[in-house]
Amino acid sequence: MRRTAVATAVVLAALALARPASCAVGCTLNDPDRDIRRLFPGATGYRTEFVSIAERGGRPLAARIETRLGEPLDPVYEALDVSYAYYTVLKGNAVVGFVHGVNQKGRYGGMQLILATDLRGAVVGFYYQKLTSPEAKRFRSEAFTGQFKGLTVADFDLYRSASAEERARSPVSRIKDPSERSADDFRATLRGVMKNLILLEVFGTTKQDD
Amino acid sequence: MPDREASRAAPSALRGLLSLVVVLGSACSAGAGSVFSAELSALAGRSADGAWTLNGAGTQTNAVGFEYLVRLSGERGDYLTADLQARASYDPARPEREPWAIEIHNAWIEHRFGLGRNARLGHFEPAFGLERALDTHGTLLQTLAERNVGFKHDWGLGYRGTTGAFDLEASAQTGSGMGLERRDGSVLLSSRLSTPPGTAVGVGVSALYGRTLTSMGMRTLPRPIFDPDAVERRRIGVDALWNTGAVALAAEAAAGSNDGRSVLGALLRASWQVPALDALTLEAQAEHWSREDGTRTSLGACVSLRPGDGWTLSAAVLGDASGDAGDTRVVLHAYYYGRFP
Repeated sequence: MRRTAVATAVVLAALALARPASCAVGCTLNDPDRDIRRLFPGATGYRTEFVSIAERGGRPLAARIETRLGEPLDPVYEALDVSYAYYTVLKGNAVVGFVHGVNQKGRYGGMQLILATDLRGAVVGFYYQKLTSPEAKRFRSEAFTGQFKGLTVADFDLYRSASAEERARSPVSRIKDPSERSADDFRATLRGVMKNLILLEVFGTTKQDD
Repeated sequence: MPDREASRAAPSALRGLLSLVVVLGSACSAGAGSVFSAELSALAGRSADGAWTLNGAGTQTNAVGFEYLVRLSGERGDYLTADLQARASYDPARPEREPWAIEIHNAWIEHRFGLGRNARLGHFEPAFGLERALDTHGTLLQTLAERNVGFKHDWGLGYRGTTGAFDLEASAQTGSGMGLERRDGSVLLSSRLSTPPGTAVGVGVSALYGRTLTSMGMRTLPRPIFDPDAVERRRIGVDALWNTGAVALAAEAAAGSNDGRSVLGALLRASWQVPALDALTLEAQAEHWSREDGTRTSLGACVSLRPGDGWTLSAAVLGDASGDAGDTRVVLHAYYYGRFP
């Protein structure tokens, strides 16, 4: 009885002292070996790195990201201590690209948006690793995801511009919503892809600053 | 007596653990990427007679633990991954008045020979069944792994890789589960061919042969008390996952024998992630297990809430449909898994 009481006390104390934090790793590839080979057919290997906003700049960096994104980060899906998995894709010893994913809140739940980018930071591949939507098939179609190829974060910056003329110049504005009744998920997709590209840029920059 | 048992167990179990710690330490000094996560599991179960206890959920126990994942990279990419996941757990149902125990769940190193070719050494899941496709480490509803294999992790060698459109896994292990032991010719050989994870429809086909040891209590230290005789297990199994987004179905079936006596099992689970309430999941599960000396049908229903910050709060009703109402249990579970510090 006394042992039970002690055990209960220990567990309750641990519960009380446990530091609230978000999930350990935000968005990793389900099957990295296969996914990397599919996205970069000539790849021979990859390096995995875990990076978080908290480690790379904390609240000030989060503020910069939010300003660029034009929206606050979600405290659950985008907590500062979530580690993002970055895959640096190699062909022999040479870096040929990057693969990185983010979580994004959609209308019916969390999305996982995976981007493959080249050395300039331009999208060479985009797919939903997870998507809950009655129109998921339309969103997952190559006709839709293929429209993101070639986009850079600068295209999204232009799309976020206050000037209607500049927004119209951005190739992002020409991407059509593939759905009939899921405009929220379309907007969430654009936001998630932009966030993914911003993180790729800021994490690369802050690493060089280190 | 328990202290002597523990001291005998320490050299064998701790040798592997210490080796892994050395690898992890070397990895850290080499500047490898790593993630350290904390884990906490608090549960209470209420049986049909109204008594509350600090157990009652099968493989889940009250526990505090951690997971440390490390990757080593070179000029040609990642070449070594190591994972150590361990808990200090409390279960009043454990034998010999030893409710506290150390459970080592993952303790492995994996070497990548190339994309899609990996070899693993240590303590990890056998290559069999739905357990390889679902993460049940922190959940109340479990798969048929305990019935088919007898445990969820074992010590040994393994290979996992890609072959065309399929993933292939194979392992050769000691057949002792959480404790490290070899006796009575104990061994476990398993393999699984499956579609890649993450697809809307996933299918796996598995086979195993083993002489596995049965132990009282799921623990690594103090040393588990093993039955002297191994159980000869033969199984073939199929498993499937169907994920439409909000609704997911998981199923598995396995047939074979235990010591020459036929066994047959099947499991079906339906999960519904409530739309617009991403944090809320409702699950129902039916499990049937048939042996020559009887059958058992178990039903379970679970509601889980993920309020964020790494917490999952669950309540489940677990019952035996083929028995009497006395087997029905209500289990409340608070589970935390998150980065630390």
